[in-house]
Amino acid sequence: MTSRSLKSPKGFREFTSGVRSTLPLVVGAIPFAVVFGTLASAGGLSLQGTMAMSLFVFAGSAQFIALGLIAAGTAWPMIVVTTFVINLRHLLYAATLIPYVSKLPHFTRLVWAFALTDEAFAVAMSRVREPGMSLTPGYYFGSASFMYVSWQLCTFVGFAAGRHFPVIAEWGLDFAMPVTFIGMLMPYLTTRPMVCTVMVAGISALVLHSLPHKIGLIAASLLGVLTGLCLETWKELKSYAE
Amino acid sequence: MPNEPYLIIGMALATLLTRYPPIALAERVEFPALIARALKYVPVAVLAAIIFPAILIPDGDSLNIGLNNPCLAGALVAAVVGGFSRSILMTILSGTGAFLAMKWLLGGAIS
Repeated sequence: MTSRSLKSPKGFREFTSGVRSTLPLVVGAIPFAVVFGTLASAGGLSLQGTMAMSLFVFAGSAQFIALGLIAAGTAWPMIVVTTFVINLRHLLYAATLIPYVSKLPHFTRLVWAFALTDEAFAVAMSRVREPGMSLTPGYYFGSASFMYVSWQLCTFVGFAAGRHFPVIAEWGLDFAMPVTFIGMLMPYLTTRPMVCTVMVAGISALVLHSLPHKIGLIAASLLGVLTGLCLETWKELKSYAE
Repeated sequence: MPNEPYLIIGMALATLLTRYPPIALAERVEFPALIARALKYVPVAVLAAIIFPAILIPDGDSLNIGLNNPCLAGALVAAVVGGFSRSILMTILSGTGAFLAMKWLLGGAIS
């Protein structure tokens, strides 16, 4: 189905159209992937390990957080659990895509799922909102493969840069990680429940910092999610009452 | 690190486990509204829980909210720039720039 849809002229047009819409997001992801590669080379991952992580995990924030946890000496099963928790938001993306995939063959769906990053989801949803347009496999694969290939290339460039100029890593690039997260976080802070989630999760993480195995991180995240959930529900109930 | 293969296979499976099930069961699944609402707050909460200690407990040991903590200066600049520009690239550049400048001002040579 996928290959047939790409061979037809319409399928190819959809593919290139997906590539084009993803360009701005690729530009945004380039520094992210380069910094990931650099930090990985400084943080003790091998070249194979770094590339394998980008090739098979393909989840930007989880890859970064894994580096942070490796640096803190965390055991690998705990890193895997944290990866799952961090990526739980993808469940929501996948659930949102259900109406667009329910007629696709199963292998195609597996590929959709593998490539379902924040960026792929954002591009897919903007396509759905365009009047007269539909989210076709060709479009999605154009978008996803552009992001995938750029992610791999930039990871490699970052790793090579980190190896050849190890001093880069000593300049405080470890600070680039929290600062990148701040950049990812700020666009969410548009509602009061979101802001309160950040404050509660952040302050709890400080208080619970000394707990072993990053339990504090998970507990603080859960407290933050509960805060947002309660505030949003409360706001909704209040607006019903008025 | 010695357990690299386990770590990567585990992370790959954990990630796929969050992306695939609803798509695989597309014909049969219905998502409870409460779960969907809670998931919206997950990335925000996790990011905050990582950022706060990384900035305010820079030595991994004790809280430092003073001027002598260059991470704090960098983070504040990054938050302001990120809030206005909404650009990750601008946020990284300005925040890291402020961090390095502060570190230099505090007298520690950048080594």
